[in-house]
Amino acid sequence: MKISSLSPAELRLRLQEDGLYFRTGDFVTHLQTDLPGVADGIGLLYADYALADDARFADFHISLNRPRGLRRWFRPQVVFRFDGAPTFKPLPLDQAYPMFEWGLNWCVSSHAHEYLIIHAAVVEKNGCAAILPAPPGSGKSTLCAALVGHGWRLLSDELAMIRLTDGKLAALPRPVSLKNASIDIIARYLPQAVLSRKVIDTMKGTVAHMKPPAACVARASETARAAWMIFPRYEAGAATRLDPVPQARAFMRVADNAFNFSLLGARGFEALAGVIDASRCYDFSYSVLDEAIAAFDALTPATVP
Amino acid sequence: MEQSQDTTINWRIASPDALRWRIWNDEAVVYCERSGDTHLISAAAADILQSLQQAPASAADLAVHLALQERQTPDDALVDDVATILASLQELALIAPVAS
Repeated sequence: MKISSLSPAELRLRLQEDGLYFRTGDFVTHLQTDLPGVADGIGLLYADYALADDARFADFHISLNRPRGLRRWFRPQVVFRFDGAPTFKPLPLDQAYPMFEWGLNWCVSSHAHEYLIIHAAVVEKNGCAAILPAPPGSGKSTLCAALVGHGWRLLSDELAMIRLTDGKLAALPRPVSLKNASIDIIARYLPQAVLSRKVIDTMKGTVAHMKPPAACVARASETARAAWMIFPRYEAGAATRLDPVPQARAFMRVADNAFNFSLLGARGFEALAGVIDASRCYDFSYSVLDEAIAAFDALTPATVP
Repeated sequence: MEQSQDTTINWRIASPDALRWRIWNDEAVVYCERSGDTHLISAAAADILQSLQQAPASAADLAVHLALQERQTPDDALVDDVATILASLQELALIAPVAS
């Protein structure tokens, strides 16, 4: 059963009481919250995700609620708890839904050490995955959203999950995080996209999330093999360019973008080396989304799957 | 500094079982398990590390080895280049002089 099988009232009640168990990729998350903003976000953006009522184990136990005391009412805040313990400083109540997304990213990147985790988007077509490592503000998520709206499968917009056992990319399709100008850009570019409401004045500016296509969520158990490592950079007015990056240098840049490369030691080194071995590596500059999509569609892998 | 210019000193891998590397074209990355550090080095430096992993060697010996690979005759300039690479590998704590 999917989350969409619950009515809004059922969803809110479930979240308020025992909490909701649902699957995102390889993980089961248990979420408890009495905040309507979070419930509404889950109902809108996670409608296609499977409930995990039969799960005997949840990877992450999360709650988002107002704090006790004055800040429950005066300039109300929201507290994120992981396994019952507050994990971050409280945020304004209006930011509760983005806080859920950021908090779940932290849960995965801080605990899922059976993967090498890179701060990167991952999209796939015809069995070949493009990994897009990039710092905030590079246009990664805008590009990812546009590609997903044009036939590329979303594996993740934030966390590239490389399995240590076989070097394949695990899918963790979750709502795509958009910021500031990119929100309206994607709303115009993909009129059919489902976007959450804008939340202003966050530490990242104005944010909104795009619902991933149901087909991507349905294929969350399908892994992919890496074929391209592409470092995107949006630059107003820039020509669309793919410039080759030597593999050894790409390795060093990706290692810098990995959450747990140092923690994993030799296993992390071998996992990343395997991905780089299989990948063509590029710097990618763009300013026009149509051209960016065409450039991606024209990519050829180093080896045919 | 003076030591690294002595091309007769024998060098060894500092942590023999702790190095992993990959070579791609003209460059390589090397990971040291003992320090947890990853370094970007030249393919020539990686070749030198591979040679030292087989047996300790001096700059002069390594220059002969590299020259043979390229079917060249080793000269003083090649020995100096190898000595420079060895100095940089020592700075990265990847190699150490063999105690005399």
